[in-house]
Amino acid sequence: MTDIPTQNRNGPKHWRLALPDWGELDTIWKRKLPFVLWNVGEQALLFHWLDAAVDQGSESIELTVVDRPVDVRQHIADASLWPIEIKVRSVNSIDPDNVDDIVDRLPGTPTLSKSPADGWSLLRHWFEIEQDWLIQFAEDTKQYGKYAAIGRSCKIAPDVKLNPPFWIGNFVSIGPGSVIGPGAVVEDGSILPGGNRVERGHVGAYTYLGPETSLSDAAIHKNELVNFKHQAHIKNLESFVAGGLDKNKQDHAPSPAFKERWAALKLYLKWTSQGSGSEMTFTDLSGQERPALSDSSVEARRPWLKEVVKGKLLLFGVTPRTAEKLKGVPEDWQAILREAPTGAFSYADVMGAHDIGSDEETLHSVYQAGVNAERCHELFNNWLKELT
Amino acid sequence: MTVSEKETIGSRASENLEDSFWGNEILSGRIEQWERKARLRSLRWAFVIRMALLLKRLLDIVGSIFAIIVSAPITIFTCLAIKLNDGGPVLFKQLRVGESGRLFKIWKFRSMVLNADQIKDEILEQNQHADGVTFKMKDDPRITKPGKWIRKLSIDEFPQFINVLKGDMSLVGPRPPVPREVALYGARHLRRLRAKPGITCLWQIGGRADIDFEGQVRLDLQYIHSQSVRQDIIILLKTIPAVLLGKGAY
Repeated sequence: MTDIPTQNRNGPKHWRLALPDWGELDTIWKRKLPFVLWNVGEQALLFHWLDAAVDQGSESIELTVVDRPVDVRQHIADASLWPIEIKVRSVNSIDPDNVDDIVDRLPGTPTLSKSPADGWSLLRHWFEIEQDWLIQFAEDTKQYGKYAAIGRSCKIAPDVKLNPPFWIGNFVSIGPGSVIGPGAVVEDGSILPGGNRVERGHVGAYTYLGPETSLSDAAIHKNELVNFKHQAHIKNLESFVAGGLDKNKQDHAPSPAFKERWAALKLYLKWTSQGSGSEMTFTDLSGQERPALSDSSVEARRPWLKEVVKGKLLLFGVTPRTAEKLKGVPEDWQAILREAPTGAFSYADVMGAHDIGSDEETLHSVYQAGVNAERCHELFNNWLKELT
Repeated sequence: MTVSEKETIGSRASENLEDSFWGNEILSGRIEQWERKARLRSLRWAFVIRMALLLKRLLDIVGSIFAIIVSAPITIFTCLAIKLNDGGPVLFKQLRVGESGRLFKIWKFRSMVLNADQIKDEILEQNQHADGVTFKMKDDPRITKPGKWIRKLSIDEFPQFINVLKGDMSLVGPRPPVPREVALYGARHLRRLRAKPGITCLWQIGGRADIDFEGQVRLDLQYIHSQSVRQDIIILLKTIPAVLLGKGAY
């Protein structure tokens, strides 16, 4: 235990940050997360700001969020590394008088002269931020040498040329004859089998890049490629050129906890008068077969409870529905309902709207999936207690 | 070039490709072969990653059970010594910062008097470190008689094998700091919290408490960077003489 060098800490004690509302600009890559949660080098852009807050001695941060607050909340809940109190405030529009700074660039860099206007400028802005970060990172961690720039348990062939600045995550395998950098980011768990060149490039997490493939001015994530120089976007690359490694793990729907299955089993045995339902099935939004319901009462959900016990459906989530039910629903709402995890009961049931696909039910489901999942889950637990 | 021209060229190109490249029987067989190779390579690497994590945990479990059994005579003797000295509790729990900043309680043999926290304020002025952050000083009056020997021989760390069994800690990893220290960290020091904390690490076998803070962080990062089960075993073996010789511990 020795002295910790004292930092220059003269920043505001309470820091108010606003997150930019660029969800609609993301027309090309269409990523699930808002811009501030995109990885810039080793961590998400937002977390670089938390780093800055630690360095300037802030004790609490208030985040003002417009774009996908649920995701931001979830990531903040997992961000236990920073010894700072973080509050997330979800609003409809940002009031510039109430914020100290906007998280649209790296901390400590001059404010943007003009913010991105379309999909490509947004992607290029992200890419440039990352390249700037690499240079800054190499400067900051000079004293730690290569130990900061390469993650744990990596397998790197001895003849690989590493040209700084670069950053390599955990569990990365790089084969012989590769040239990494300058300006390369390789995220966790990726494989570069050999003869690869990554120069001003970004290889996403758990990505397989084929042998003898070079990447410059481009980002690749799983089997999706974005080239910034030629403004090209390619989806579904051949699997020997590039592909995802944990495809099954990522795409697999979350399975219910033991507690949920037990509650479902209890309800299933309680509602025996309903019968086991018809043999009819329908295809839901994620392309899975679900048993059809006989009517729109709560008890009619009995065949779905069986699915919960089997682990194919959550107990609480957005109820599965056919694609036809989405007709007439605004497009951004459709996207929210498609992305949400499916469950046998939803917040709409708590509010008394059991008819799936009705306007009221859709509204409640969108509120649950897109705005305040935690509160809805709380209310649902109370409702479930009354039911059982 | 107009749009329609582009379209026709594009469609012609794709037709040609269908015929000559993708449609070619010999090549299409080879493409499947490449794909199989790629899939195999991915699966093998995923297996290696999983085994690396599994082996580390396995080493923790086996190593800590072994250590608990081997150290049982010393543990019983220490328990008796602490109990007979002032009759207070043998173990004490302390809040530490673990993997990715999550708090957990670390177990130690009590080496200080019962009202150590009260006395702390009184001796704060005598503390060797001017900022009053780290309360580790030579000839601390709060340390009991058996406590002095416990600390000298690093026996106070033995109950941490229980933490290792529980999964809060690992045998080898950066030392878990107390929350008071983390409050003073800069952002670049937080990096060391990304790995699971451990009982021993590179700087314990190097010079122990004689290294400055930046040097500790550097060694922690060096460990995280070059982590492997083989290296863990080497560090564990090197720790034993370091503990026995009592280098840098006070």
